[in-house]
Amino acid sequence: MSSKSGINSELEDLTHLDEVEASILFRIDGNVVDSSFKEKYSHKLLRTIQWCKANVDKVSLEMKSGNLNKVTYELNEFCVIFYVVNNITILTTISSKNANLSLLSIESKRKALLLVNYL
Amino acid sequence: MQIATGTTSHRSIHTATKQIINDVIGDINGSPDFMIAAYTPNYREKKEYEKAIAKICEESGTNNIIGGTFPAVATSNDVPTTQGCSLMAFKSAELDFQPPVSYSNIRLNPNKGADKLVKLFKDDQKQNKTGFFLTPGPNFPPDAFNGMKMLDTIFAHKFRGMFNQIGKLINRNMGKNGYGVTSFAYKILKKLLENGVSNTLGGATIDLDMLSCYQFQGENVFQNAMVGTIFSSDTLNFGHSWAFDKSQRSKTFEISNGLKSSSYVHTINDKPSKEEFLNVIDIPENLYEEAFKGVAYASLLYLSTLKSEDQGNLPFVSVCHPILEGVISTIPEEILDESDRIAEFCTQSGIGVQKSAYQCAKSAAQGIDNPVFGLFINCSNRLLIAGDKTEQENKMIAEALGTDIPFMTLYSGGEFSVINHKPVYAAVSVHGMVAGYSKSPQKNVVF
Repeated sequence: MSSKSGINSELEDLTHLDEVEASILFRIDGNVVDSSFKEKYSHKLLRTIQWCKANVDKVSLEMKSGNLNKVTYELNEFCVIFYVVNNITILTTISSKNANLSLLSIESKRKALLLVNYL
Repeated sequence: MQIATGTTSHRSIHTATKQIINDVIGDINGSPDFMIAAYTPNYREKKEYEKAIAKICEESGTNNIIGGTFPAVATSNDVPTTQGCSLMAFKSAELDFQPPVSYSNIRLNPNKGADKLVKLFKDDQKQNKTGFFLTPGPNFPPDAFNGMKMLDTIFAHKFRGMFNQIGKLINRNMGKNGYGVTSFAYKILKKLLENGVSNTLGGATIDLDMLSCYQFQGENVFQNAMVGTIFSSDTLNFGHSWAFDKSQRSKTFEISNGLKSSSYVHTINDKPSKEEFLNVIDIPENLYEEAFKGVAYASLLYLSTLKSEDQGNLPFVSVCHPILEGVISTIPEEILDESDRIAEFCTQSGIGVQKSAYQCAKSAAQGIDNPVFGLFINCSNRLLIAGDKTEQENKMIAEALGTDIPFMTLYSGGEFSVINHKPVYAAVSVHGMVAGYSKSPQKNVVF
């Protein structure tokens, strides 16, 4: 499997989970490496993605300085999990606000570990 | 002896199955003697699981397989997944596996299901043997608690003696509708004990979304069945143990009154139980509802224990639903009978969960010099507490057994064992079985 399709397949796995709305692999400068969305997505979701894109550099700096592997934001409509993949990329999982974050963080971690192999 | 394990994850059950066949069955030279397969419940459709299990049977050349669905699955050589499957395959001249059995009406007739396991034990002539079985788990659809409302009438509170009989009928109805595990799992353990079974490991399949859970035996996929088998050997020994996080004990309280036949508690410390329960754990009602409505209103972080004459402190879960004045608990009737009714609160923590997994594995392997493999039934509530640190828990098990020892962890909706002729029915706990060689005769291990 090529690097591009491998990354996309792992992101699609995440998006396939009932509660996940989108999964995006960001570079820490905010550029998107790859992404996957549920077929139907709302304007609210797009605004949340914009928020992620605008803040991923600050979040990654915070994660680096605090030696954090994972940061979770519980927003009004969605939950966002940032998971460190390597020095320059961060996996972002956006789920519905009622998602079971414990279970979701297990899968995000697994995917972050798998994504390293494609980068 | 060949033992292969693996965990794969993929959004498609077909791809996950294909990968696991490649990784695990491909590692066994020839056809395995026996397999344990565990899938996560997110694939939902029964026919999808039927196809997947049929494929594993076809590719492996054996129908000697049992398994089920669990919110997460893990093996010693892979990180846990909540979207995939784990498989453990065995091929050994030293280890025997009785052809797996199933009983499809286990919620209503637990004794009949247990009889099937007893027969396996009696038919096996090997020196050392132990059982392994899986059952359906808790299933609380949104309206499940409405059926409990009749337990709350003034009449029920006043005439408890009579309502214990009605409680039994309600219990039966709850069993039929698939609500709880307590009513049938403890009966299976008692039946096994009555027939001289000394060691067995059991666990309940579960879907935390309360939508679907399945059990597998051969190519069959069931929704409300017990599936099980017997491991036996003349050269290998089997060690069992269990543990839970009891590191942070806080208050005690008295279970004053309740309908013992349906594990329904009316009064705690001689006060209405819901009110007093929230008072003891010091949480306002609205916050409790907000925090626990997603997990069937069970206060999983606040685990209570009750001291049993035979089994020491046994943990149980309390369910505090807004429409009920009482508290539903997971205490088997027999344990409530033999206890002093003084319960203790133990607050669960991530570190405590990890430590207790180590304790369980270490204690199960205590009489075994060279472990060969391990099987662990670990509460799915502990999974929620551990979150993405779940991997650490399995690392602790690996540390206890040896880093090259294959094992499988299933995150269950109920954990139960028979250990050294004693039944252990406990909530939010980890139960384990370790098989291996002993230089000296095996000692009885009591945790």
